Amino acid sequence: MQPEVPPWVPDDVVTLAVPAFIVLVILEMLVVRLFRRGAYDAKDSAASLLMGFGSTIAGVLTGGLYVVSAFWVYDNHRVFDIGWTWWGLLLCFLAEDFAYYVFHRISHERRIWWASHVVHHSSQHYNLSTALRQTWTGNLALSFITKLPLFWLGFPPAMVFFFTGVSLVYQFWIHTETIGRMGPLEWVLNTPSHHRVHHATNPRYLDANYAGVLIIWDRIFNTFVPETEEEKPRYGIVANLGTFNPLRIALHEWIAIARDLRDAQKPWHWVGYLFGPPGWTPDGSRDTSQSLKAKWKADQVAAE
Amino acid sequence: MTPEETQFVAVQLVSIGGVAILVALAWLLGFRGGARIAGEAQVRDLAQAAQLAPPKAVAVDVDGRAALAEIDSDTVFLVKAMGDRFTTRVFKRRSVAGVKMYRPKGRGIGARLRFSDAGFDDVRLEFAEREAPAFVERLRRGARIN
Repeated sequence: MQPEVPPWVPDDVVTLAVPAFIVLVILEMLVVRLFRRGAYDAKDSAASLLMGFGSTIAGVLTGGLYVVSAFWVYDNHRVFDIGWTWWGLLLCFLAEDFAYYVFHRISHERRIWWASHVVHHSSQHYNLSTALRQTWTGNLALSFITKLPLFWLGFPPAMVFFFTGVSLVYQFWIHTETIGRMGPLEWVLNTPSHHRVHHATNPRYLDANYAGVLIIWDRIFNTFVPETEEEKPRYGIVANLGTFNPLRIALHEWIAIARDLRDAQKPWHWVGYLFGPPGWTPDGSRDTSQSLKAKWKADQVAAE
Repeated sequence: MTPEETQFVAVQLVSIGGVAILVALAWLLGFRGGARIAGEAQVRDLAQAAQLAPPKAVAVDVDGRAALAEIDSDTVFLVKAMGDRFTTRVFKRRSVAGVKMYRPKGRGIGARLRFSDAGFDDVRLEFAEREAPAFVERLRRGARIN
């Protein structure tokens, strides 16, 4: 049994924030129109918003997997009993944010999780509607496994779910080109500038800035890359999509994986196609983030 | 319905209403896409930017919505307008799942291309001429492109 949840904790932080999301998207559209900073496209936004809507439905249908796993670990295997104290909340915030960093990093570095997460990166725009372009298949791919150690440590599930919601709401507003740099906050927090880098496909920016709320994890684990004035981010994925169809957006990478598995020549190729980096092939015939970065670095050296 | 179910349905209705309002507002504010391929030179520039060999032939949709370039006997380069942006992709011949010709009203000929990449919708190329460019026709027949 988890400890009683304090009355000030909302059932679902994200649901509460939906009206604010709508108002802020409207405000950003007006700012983009008036000051020509950033960009919108009606079809692209429609796709992003429908992905967001679909993800809430998918969450209801598949979220039970996460909830059942969380309570199973907490009820049967927890090491400590952590209550809703100030230090418990602080530790949980930090632990959840670190678990998010790990989840986010493997979501980029391992194809089986990238297949879900690619959805969020599949827009060539970077605005508040992009924030809502969310996966439908994350729970089915067990993307929550990086959160399970928190329940094992003894953080109550409701506390972890609360901070996951806070993190999601926090990450909404950083998907914008209308805000530049934020001074000293850039050292500690994930900001629009840091997250623009994360969404960029320029080789120098690939696989960087995985943070949720605190950018410190990227600084500690050497995945931090600052936005530079000389290279404006190009948003999207290395091979951008040619569709606004939500079903195709949600499933295209899963279909590509299925085809690769079907055509695999040897059993160990399955391991590479599922758990290798996106772009992995047995013969190295496709680009990965690492190979693209290596080419870019070689070009830089050659140019000097 | 339980109060929780009622609340869930209410939230979904607000969300879908919000989606409709935001898309309508984006359209009203003029964010209506409209990227168009200006011509063969632009396709060649994009192919060069993608570090491809110079195309041997280029076919541009009469409205500039898409273009296809022949890179070599087994490779085509596709440019597709996506809202206010372009998407480009290199396809091997085996990834072209089908090419169907049709006669569009008031145009010469159209080609509908289907790709095995699930991240791509079908692409339509329409031409003023009565015949499609030769490499598109060869692609339809499943033959080597050149």
